[in-house]
Amino acid sequence: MEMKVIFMIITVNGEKKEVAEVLNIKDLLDLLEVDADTVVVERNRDIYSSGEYSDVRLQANDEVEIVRFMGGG
Amino acid sequence: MDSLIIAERKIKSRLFVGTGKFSSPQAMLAAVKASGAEVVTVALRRVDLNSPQDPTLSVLQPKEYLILPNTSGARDAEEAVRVAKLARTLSKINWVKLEVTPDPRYLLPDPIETLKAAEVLVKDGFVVLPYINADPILAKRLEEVGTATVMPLGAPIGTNQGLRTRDNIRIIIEQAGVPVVVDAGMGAPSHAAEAMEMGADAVLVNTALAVACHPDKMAAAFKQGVEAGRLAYLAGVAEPKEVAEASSPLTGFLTPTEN
Repeated sequence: MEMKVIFMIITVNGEKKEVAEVLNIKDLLDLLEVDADTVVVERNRDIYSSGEYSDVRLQANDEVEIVRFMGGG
Repeated sequence: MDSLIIAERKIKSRLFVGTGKFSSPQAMLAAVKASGAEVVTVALRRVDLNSPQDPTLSVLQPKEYLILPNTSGARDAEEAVRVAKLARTLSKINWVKLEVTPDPRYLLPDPIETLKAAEVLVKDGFVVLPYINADPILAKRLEEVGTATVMPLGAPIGTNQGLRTRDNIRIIIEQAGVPVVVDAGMGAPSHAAEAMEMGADAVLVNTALAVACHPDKMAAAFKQGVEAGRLAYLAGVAEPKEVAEASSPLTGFLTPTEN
């Protein structure tokens, strides 16, 4: 039987992205090739630590921020 | 040097350095090493999804430094608190340099929003180091809500003008019950030395190092400036006088004075 993939729109760092509907935060980071250990992720203003990424399933219209430390004064 | 203690943590160097604006991660790392700094500031920013590799900070080993995240980019208290919480999750320590700068031209800190954010963050268990204009009353208000330091500016960020606010910094130092870290505007080691001679507990420098032709040498120069200033403060800097006071004895001249 052929699997049908359903897509949804989420916003990541201000950009709209079409992604597969079954996706957790870890999947998203893998998809974007972001090293999970160097970032912190906020979803709809809730902060998640790296241990929780696999458990948090994304929903359509989620607003996700992926941030990291950079040079600053 | 005598040690600095902030929030019960002993800090080995009174020179704090920022990591922004360097030409390369290697130049930044060389400057940080040469500065001898333990407290090293960083900013929190969105990952560039078109270039998701970690460019800058992978060179810094967090174990060797106290990585102090700032809330730069925050325009009000709410944004600052949001950034601080994200930073804490990532850094795994609860220290934050609180920075609320709504105006991009002069990047002067908003005193009211800074005080509001400080109150929230202190209650939430943060060790708060607030960046402020050199306002002695504001410094006291922040101390009263429980900030670990105050960080008055010498001049606007990145201007290299030195201690334009020296008279107010002097009052802040006189009245402070928490360490005073002079932050921003210092362009030369002599500026840092002046702050330390006045009795500042530490200084934070970034641009002056980052834009130098040789950031590592400039970092070493600032290290010496800070150490010289601190030592002079501890030794007791001489008071300025209006009229001459001879260094040589005023008796026993070869030509006797006439009666």
